[in-house]
Amino acid sequence: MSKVNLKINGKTVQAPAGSTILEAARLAEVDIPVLCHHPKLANLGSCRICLVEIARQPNLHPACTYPVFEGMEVQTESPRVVEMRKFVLDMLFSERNHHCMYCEMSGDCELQNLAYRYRMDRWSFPSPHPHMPVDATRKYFLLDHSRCILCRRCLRACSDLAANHTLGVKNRGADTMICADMDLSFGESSCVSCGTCLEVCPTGALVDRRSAYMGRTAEVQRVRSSCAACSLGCGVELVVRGGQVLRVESDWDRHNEGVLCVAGRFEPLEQTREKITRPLVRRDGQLQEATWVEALDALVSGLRQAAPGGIRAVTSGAVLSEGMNEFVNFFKGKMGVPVHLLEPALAGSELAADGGLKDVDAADFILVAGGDPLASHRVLGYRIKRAIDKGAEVWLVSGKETEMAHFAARCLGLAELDSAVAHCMESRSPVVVYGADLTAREAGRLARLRGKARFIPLAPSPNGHRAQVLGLEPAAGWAGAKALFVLLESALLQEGWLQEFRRPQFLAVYASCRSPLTDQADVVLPALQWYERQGTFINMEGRNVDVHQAVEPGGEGWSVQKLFDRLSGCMT
Amino acid sequence: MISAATKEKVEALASAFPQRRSGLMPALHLIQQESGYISPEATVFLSQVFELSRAQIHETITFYHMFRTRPAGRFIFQVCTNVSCMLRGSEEIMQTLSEILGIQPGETTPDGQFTLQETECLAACGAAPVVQLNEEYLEHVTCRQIRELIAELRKES
Repeated sequence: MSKVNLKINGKTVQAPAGSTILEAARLAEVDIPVLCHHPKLANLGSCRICLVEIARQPNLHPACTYPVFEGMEVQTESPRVVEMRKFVLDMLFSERNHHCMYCEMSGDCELQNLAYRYRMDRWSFPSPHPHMPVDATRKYFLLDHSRCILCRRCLRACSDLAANHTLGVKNRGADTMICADMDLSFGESSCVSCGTCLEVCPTGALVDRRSAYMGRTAEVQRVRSSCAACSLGCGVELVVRGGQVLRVESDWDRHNEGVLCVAGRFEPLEQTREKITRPLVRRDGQLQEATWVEALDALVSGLRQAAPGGIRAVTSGAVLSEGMNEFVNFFKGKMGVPVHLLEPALAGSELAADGGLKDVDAADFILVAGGDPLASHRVLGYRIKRAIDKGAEVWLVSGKETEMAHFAARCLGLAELDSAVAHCMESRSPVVVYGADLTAREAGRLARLRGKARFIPLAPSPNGHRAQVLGLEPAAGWAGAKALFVLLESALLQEGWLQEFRRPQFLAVYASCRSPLTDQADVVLPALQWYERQGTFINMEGRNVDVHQAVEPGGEGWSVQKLFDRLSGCMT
Repeated sequence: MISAATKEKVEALASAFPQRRSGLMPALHLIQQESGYISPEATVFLSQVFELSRAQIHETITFYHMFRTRPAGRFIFQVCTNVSCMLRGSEEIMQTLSEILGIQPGETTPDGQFTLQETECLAACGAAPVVQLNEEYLEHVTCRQIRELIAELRKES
């Protein structure tokens, strides 16, 4: 790529041709302030805070949209530029209610920071402070219009990143306001609460309800981790203070590119299930709190009474790889007990998992078969919608009603799978997204596309891929057990999984939260909570992703490794 | 409700242009002519036809003062409040209208007959103050004229 030579504040800079002044300045470590610009969003050039002076040009120009040229000389903090920036700030502060001391974002606000940077101590227009509504109709975050500077970052995030197209602006001039759909309240609108808008808002207009007023950037720690709500394994940053996870934000450098979904960003912290923090042992028909020693004793004697042929072991596919390995080693390796998987598995193990979100971006044809990414793997669903916006064609093959059907060019029944496969064959760079509703026979028909298409599995459990690698069988095989050990960790039990379940003579459950299964157990072993555990899992791209401990364990929960390490000692 | 005939015309508008969205403005006019305003149902219909989001349709409607998202009265008074008209007494005109009709700017009388609106420049400053009644301009308008006019319109309705 050809380079362009320019001078920024007298400093010689070389920048790739076609880059903007802002990009060139960042290469030269010159800080130009921005408000409407966001590195992951298309440039708009509307806020005018990044105006710079270009030699031999009469007007100031926005650095975020102006391309560099050879011999260009730019001043980013000249008296004229500074005066103009103060004017822009003055106008922004005059417009609505920006009394920072009452705002949740005070101290972390991009607008406030600029006011300090340009030593703003008053605004020159008598501020009308029009009465602006607060929309608090969404469960997890609210919009306070009086803090909004109309930078439209939220709007671009909603349309370009999440591809949801809920947000727009109504009216014009001083009456302009952010609105949802045809001016519905957010709660009634097509908003999917992915929270991407919340994350890009430069002021306190969009506020997370749960973590509001609970800590500023300087007072919190950030722990990079991976979301384990589904097999996408999106990059997240857990915002932690005082042994508590305040909120989940996204990691912009990972494959999800800043986008999360409601199941990853908000729901994990909306814990309504009762936590299990101590071992429980059934005595006289009642589950009672016990010590780990008592619980291990009860477990060992329960297993011994059934041994060896009567024991069955079941793990959830939500368990991290290290724990799952340990579990399989112990039961399959040491005890010779078959190990089963709690969640349904994908048919068609011969189909690869060689596609990723980047392949979706580049696809001209996407075949979604036997699953609904917008229900089970939402960030993938948003990415598919993004591809549709860019011109990709999506066909849906499913026997059920799906969310994705609203966006697909064609919706076919499973019987018509072959015509979709034929269309896929004629495409340039197709992607196949396949889910658990496919039978082995249907999956076999998709296998014809190997080598032609990239495959993305919609595994029903986050670490289902690992379970497949370990050769775990579907859970139906647990019938007839005398003693059953279920490794649940923080997995949510779904209706239907327990349909075939008959309580065996002895039931032990390792879990972080109370469920119908722990209520029936003879021994309940406390697991680590989702934010207390450390390890890896295999995501849908077939890559190992890290889950980091964000908070020291608060209860008596043990990791799976520690549990089986101790249990091995007891069983010999 | 959008009639089948209007729906057909809107479809034709969408396919008349290289980019479907180019037909949106004439389509909004068509629907408003028929229904008097653009209803939420109409917005949903238009978003499907023009392959735009509902928010984008609403943005277009609310950007232009001539499009309405709520039903309006049979007679719509639009009073220009820009500089020339203001200097020539548009404030009193507005006040008179407001008093006689018993409504504030932006409102419609309970009987659904009259709507009162402020509007930006009507591009007839030479005849200020100017009031637009439905599709017609009332030029060099006075408070007395307004009183007489409304009395006449009330008889008519």
